[in-house]
Amino acid sequence: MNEEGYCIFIVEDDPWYGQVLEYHLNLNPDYHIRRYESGKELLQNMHVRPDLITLDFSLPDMKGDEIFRKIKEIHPDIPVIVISSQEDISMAVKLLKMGVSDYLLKDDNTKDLLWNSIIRIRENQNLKKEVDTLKEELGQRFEFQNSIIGNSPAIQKVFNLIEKAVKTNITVSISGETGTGKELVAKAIHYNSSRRKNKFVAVNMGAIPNELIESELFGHEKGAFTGAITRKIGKFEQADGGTIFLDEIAELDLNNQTKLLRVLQEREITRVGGANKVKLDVRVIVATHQDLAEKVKKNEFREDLFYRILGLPISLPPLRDRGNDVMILAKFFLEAFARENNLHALTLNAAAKQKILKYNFPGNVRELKAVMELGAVLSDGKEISEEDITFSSVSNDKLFSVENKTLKEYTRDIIKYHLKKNNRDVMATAKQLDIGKSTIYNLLKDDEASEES
Amino acid sequence: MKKLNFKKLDEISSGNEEFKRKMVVLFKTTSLDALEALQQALAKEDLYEMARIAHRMKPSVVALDLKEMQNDITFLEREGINLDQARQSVESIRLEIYDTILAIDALEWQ
Repeated sequence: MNEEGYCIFIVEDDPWYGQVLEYHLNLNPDYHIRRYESGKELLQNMHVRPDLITLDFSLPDMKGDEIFRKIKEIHPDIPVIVISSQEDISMAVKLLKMGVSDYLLKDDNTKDLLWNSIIRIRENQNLKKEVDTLKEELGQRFEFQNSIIGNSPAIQKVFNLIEKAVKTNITVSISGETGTGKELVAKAIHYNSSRRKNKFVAVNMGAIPNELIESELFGHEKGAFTGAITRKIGKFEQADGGTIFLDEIAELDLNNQTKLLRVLQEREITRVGGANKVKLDVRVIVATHQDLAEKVKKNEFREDLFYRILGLPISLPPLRDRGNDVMILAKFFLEAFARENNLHALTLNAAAKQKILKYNFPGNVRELKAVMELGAVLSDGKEISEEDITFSSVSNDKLFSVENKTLKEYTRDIIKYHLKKNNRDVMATAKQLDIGKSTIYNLLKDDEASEES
Repeated sequence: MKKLNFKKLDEISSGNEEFKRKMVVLFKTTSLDALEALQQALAKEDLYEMARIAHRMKPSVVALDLKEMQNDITFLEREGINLDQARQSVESIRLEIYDTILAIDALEWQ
């Protein structure tokens, strides 16, 4: 709706009927009407960008279908209602297929039909605007600074790569441990790219049985297999114009990898049981927590698909490598939790902060969020204490498996940890770990030597 | 003098007398313009253009309930008519328009 109200163009070469339409539509004070008698006159005024056009089918200079095409070339979104004196069903069907919003006959009912048609179109336009606004808001939620929190060098590097990713349609491959925010990064890329107004479709490949993957991704035709009672539009088609996020891509079996590769190469899909190819414009973002290159070496992942999806690789750092981000994130999660649950603001006391900083968060940001929320619930006052912070990692194996250290290095870490805890009391540490004092002295000597060198 | 029936026009104008009168007066100019265009098309033996003009006249002719003229217009819209038949219809429309205008003038609406 422009400043003057809801602007309607009436295109009608009969001045008498044009006046009737104008009079009738002017009964709504919201409507601002402009009337033109030829197609040429209409096209000259399209810069005004009306909200709706009523178009007489038989104008002296252009046929209805011709002028409709020209209108769509200039402003594809403007709804057009064709009004004709002749009941021509085949033409009506043709026009409706072309995208005309309604086809009305000039008869005794025209004014009521036109009135209702405009109300319906306005409702659709309002809904569309609402959806656009919501999408815009969603986009703002996924602005980097609003969604991905932190200022460590490791996360700044990620920001830098996201900024590069949003400028083009390059395929993005996101890797990182579980809980590092792979889907969040994928959404940030989508909602900050030129595709933000179209769909973001996320698919977790690990959650779909292999035999259903093809139908899930590419859809199927009615009767394609037992149980296919209707046509199904697959995830790729749903994401047309937007972005598809293929999470846990490493879980795809070799057979489906081949099918995916073909789709990515051809940029078109064929529904299961269908014969026609459907051209698509979809941006692809993939993610995995596994080492894909390693899987290629083991012949578990196709090499050609690996290179096809590699595109711009973004590696998400684990939380333990993000320095002070852990405290920034902890504060963010506490504030968000308090806001969502109408609680007073909560802070962490010094001991609680220390406990958090010492922990290595194998579950990464997702785990930190859960720990903070539980802490907020357990806390009795405005401050969260050390006791309110509870870690319940599923497996401590991750503490070791993620760090690629030798046994000697792990041994050194454990001894140093307990030495620190025991205020460098070698006797107490040796007793606690059930090792000889000489082992500890040798380690300290090695460390000093390496520091000196 | 031809008797005019404004029942349909009353419905269109939703009881707005001023608008109704405006549309009746406007009919004089639009119908004379259409008649002139019809005669030009006839001179050029352009049956397609005649059908288009007749088509354009229809809503006002229906609204003023001018039944005879409506028949002539519908005839001109038809495919496959010959020039003589078209000429007769245009002449009939001309007479009907003149009669209608005389009746409108007699109302003394400005």
